[in-house]
Amino acid sequence: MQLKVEFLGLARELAGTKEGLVQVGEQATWREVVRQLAAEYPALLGTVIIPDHDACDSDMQHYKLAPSYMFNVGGRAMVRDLDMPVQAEERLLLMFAEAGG
Amino acid sequence: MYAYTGKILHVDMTTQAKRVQQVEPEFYKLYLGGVGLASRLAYDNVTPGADPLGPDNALCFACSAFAGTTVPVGTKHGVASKSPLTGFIGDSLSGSHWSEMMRRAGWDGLVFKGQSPHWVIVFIDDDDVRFLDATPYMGMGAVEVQGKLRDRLGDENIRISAIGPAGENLVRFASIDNDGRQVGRTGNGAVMGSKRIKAIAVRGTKPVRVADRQGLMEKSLPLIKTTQGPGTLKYRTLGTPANVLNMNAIGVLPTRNFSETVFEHAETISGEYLRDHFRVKAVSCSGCSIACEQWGVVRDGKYKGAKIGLDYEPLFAVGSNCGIGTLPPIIKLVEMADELGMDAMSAGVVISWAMECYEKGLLTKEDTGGLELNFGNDDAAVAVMEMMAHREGLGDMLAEGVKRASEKLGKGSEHFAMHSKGMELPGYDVRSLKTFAMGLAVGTRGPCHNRSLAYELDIKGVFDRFTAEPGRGPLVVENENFACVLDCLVLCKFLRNCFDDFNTEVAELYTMTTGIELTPEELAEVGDRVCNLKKAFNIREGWTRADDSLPPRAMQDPIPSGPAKGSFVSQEELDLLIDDYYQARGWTEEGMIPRAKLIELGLGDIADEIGEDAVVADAAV
Amino acid sequence: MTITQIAYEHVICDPAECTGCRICEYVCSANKHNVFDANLSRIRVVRIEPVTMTAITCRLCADAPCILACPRDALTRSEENGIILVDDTKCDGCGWCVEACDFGAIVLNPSSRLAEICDLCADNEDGPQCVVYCPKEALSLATPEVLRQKSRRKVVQRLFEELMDNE
Repeated sequence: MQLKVEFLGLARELAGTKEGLVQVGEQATWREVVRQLAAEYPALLGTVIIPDHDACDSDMQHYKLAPSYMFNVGGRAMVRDLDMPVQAEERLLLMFAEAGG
Repeated sequence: MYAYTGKILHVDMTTQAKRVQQVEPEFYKLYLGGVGLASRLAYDNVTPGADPLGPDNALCFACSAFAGTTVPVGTKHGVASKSPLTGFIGDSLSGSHWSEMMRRAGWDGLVFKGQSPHWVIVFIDDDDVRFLDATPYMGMGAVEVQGKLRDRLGDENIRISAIGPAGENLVRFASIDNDGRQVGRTGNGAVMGSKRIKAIAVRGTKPVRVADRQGLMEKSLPLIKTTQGPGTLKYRTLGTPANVLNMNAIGVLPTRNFSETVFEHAETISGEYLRDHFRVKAVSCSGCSIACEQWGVVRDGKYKGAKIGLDYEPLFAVGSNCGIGTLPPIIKLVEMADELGMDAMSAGVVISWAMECYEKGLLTKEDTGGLELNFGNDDAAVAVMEMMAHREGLGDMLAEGVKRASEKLGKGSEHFAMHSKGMELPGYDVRSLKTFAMGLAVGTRGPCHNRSLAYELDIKGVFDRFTAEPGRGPLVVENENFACVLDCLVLCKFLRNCFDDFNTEVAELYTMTTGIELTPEELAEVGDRVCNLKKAFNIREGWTRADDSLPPRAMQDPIPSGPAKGSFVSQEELDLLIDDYYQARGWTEEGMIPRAKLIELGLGDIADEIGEDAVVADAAV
Repeated sequence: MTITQIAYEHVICDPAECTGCRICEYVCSANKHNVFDANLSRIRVVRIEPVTMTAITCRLCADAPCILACPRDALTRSEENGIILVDDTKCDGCGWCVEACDFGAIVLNPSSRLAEICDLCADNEDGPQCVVYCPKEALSLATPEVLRQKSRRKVVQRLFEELMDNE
C-alpha cells in the first residue's frame, strides 16, 4: 500500500520536501515504513532515523526513529510500537515531541 | 564555597538603605540557585498578604550555579516576587549576561523591597550601590534604555535589567529586559515599576573562581560538542517556531483566542517559512553553545525594518491566536512587546480576547477608539499593543490582564478569558492534551509550559491525550520536578537531551563549580522541594483548590474542527486529574501540604510558620 | 600611514558563524589565569547589535604598531610563530601598546597592570583553546590567505550544488 507522509520540522528541512510517498507491503509494520523512508530520504539518517541495534532478527539493517521523533496517524494517534502493523492509509505525520519557547 | 559568594544584597527602595545577608553553603544545596534561590528569597522577604504592586512585595533576583563558566547554556538568572497577575508566586527566568555580572559584582542574589519616592536607576558597581536619577530615561524602550545607560556610564561591560513603558505604567504582565532577553512571565516588570526602578545596572569586575577549574573545563568540552549534535539540531536550525506546524498538524495550535485548534495560515507563520523568508541568523544567550534564537527581519512592506528573535510562544500568541496569518506583523508585534516591556504571550492572549469581544459586539468601535478590532486585523493589534503599554483608552483595561479585564467588562466575556489563576495560557490547546491540562491547572505560577512539561507525555503518546484516567500523576510530578531542577540550576531545557545520566553528570558539574558536595539523589530532590516551597508561598497567600482551574472555554466548548474535534476537559475529568496530581505530590485532597511532608523536604521552618498540625488546618482559617 | 601586513597565523573569527556566546572569553581567561573573567581574556566578543557580532584578538600584524609604540621595548616578536611577546620585567603598564592597537586586542591586566597579548596558547599542544572550545567553529587559526582559499572553495562548492539542484 501507499502511504503519504507529511514531514514536519527538522524532518522537512532534511528531506527537502513537505511530504513524500512510501510504498510498503500489505502486512508491513511501521519499521518497514522507517526503512523505506531511510532509503528514499537518506538525509534523515543519523538525525531523524537512526540504526536500531536492538532489533536484529536477521542480517538486515534495522532502523528506528531518533528519540523525540515519532509517527502520528491522522493527527491523533501516536505510533508507540514500530513492530505493530501499519494501519489504514491515513495521513501520516513524521513529527517531534519536545517543544518549548 | 566557590563560584557562589554567599552574599545577598538587600536594598530598601524607600530609604535607599542596603544590607548584606550571608548565606551558608547548605542553602545552595537545598535550592541550587536560579528559580529555587529566587523563590526562597521571595518566600522570606515578601510580606504575607502584600499588595504585589506595593512596598511590601519583594523583587528577588538570583544567579545560576554555572554563570560565567564554560558549562554551556547555564548563564541564566531567576527572578521571583508576588505576581501582580496571580497574587501567587511569580517566578521567571531569563538568559544572557546578567547572571554572570551579578555574580562577578559579588552577589548571588538581589532583593528589592519598599518603594522609591522617585524614579531611579540602581547602579551596582561591585560592592558599591548608587542611585541615579531616572528622569532622562523615562518612557524609553526596555532595550533602548540599556544602550543609553551604557553610554552614560561609559563602560560596555555593564549589564542592565530594565523595564519599558509597560513596566513604568504597571501593566500587570510587564517584563524585565536584559540584552534583549526577557524575564517575561508573571509581571515582574510591573513589580519593578511599582518600586520605581527603571533599570538596574551592574558592573562586576571580580573573577569567577570554581572549585575544580581544570576538571570543569574537561567536562565542559564534550558537553559543548554534544550540543552541536542531533539532540539540539531542531533548536539550532528552526528554533521553537518549528512547533507551529507540529501543533497545527495534531490540532492543538490555539487559533482565534483558543476557539479553534487548526489555523488555515499555519504554513505562512511557521518556523520553516520564517527560516526561508525572514531569518538572518540564530544567536546565543551568554555562554550558550546551542544558539536557538532565530532572528527574523522584515525587508519590505509596512513593517519594513522590524526584527526580532522569534520563539514559538510569542508567535502563537500574536499570530494564530489573533488570527494573523503572515510573519511581518508578528515580527513587528513581538518586537513592540519586547521594547515596550511586556510579556508577548500575555499581551497576545489579551489582544485575542479583545478581538473576540469586538467580534461578538461586547466591545464596540466606541470602546476601541475607532479601531476595527477583528481577528486578523494587524493594524489594530499594533495599535492596541501600544495602547496597553501606555494604558491609553481601551489599553488601560487590557493592561490589567485578561482575568481582570473580563471581570470588568462582564457580559459573559469571562467564558473565553483564557487564563488560569490570572495568568494567560501558553500555546497548547489543552482540550485535547489532558495530561497537560493537569499540569497547567495546578501550576504554582499559573499555567506554564516551562514549569510543567506534561505536554510531552500527551504528544509522545505516553498517555492518551483525549482521555483522562487516574495514574498519570506520578509521571507529571516527575516531569515537573525535573523541569524545576533545570530552572534552579539554571540549565536551559534545550540541554536536557545532551546527557546520558543527567543527575550524576550535573551533580558532578555542580560540585566541581561550587565545591558543595551534592549527590545525584540530592540534586533530584531539589525539584520536589522547590515545587513545594512555591506551593507553600501560594498557601500562605490564601490559595485554595478552586484556584487550580482552567478557563470555562477549555471545559465547556468542544473543539469545533480538525483532528481533535469534539474534545474538551469536563469538570469530572479535571477533578480526577487534580486528585491524581495531589496524591502523587503527597498532598491532602484539598491540595494542602502536610506538615510532615514539609519537614521531610527540609522545609521545617516553613512548616513551623504555616501550620500547627498540618498546613491544611492553618489554611482553612 | 604604514600598510598593515598580516602574514602570521592568528585566531580569526567568522562573524557569520559567531553567535555571541562568549565561551572563548571564559576559556581564555581560565587557561591563562585559572579563573573565569572576561576582563582577563585576550579574545573579546563584540556585539554591536543582536545579530551583529564577532570575536577579536591579536592579529599578529607584520609591522606591529604595538611593538613600535612601546617606550620600554617590552614587546618583541617571536621568531618561531610571530606572536607578540611581553617582557614582564620591562612592561610598566603605560598602555601605549593598547592605544596603538587598532583592534583593541591588547589587555591590561587589572591586577598586575601589565600588558597581555594572545600567544596562541603556545604552551598547549592542541593550540589556541578558544578555537578548540568554540561551539560553532567560528574561530580558526589561519592566515588571511588560507581563509581566502577556504572562501573560494566554499563559494564554488555552493555554486555547483545549486547547479546540480537545478538539473
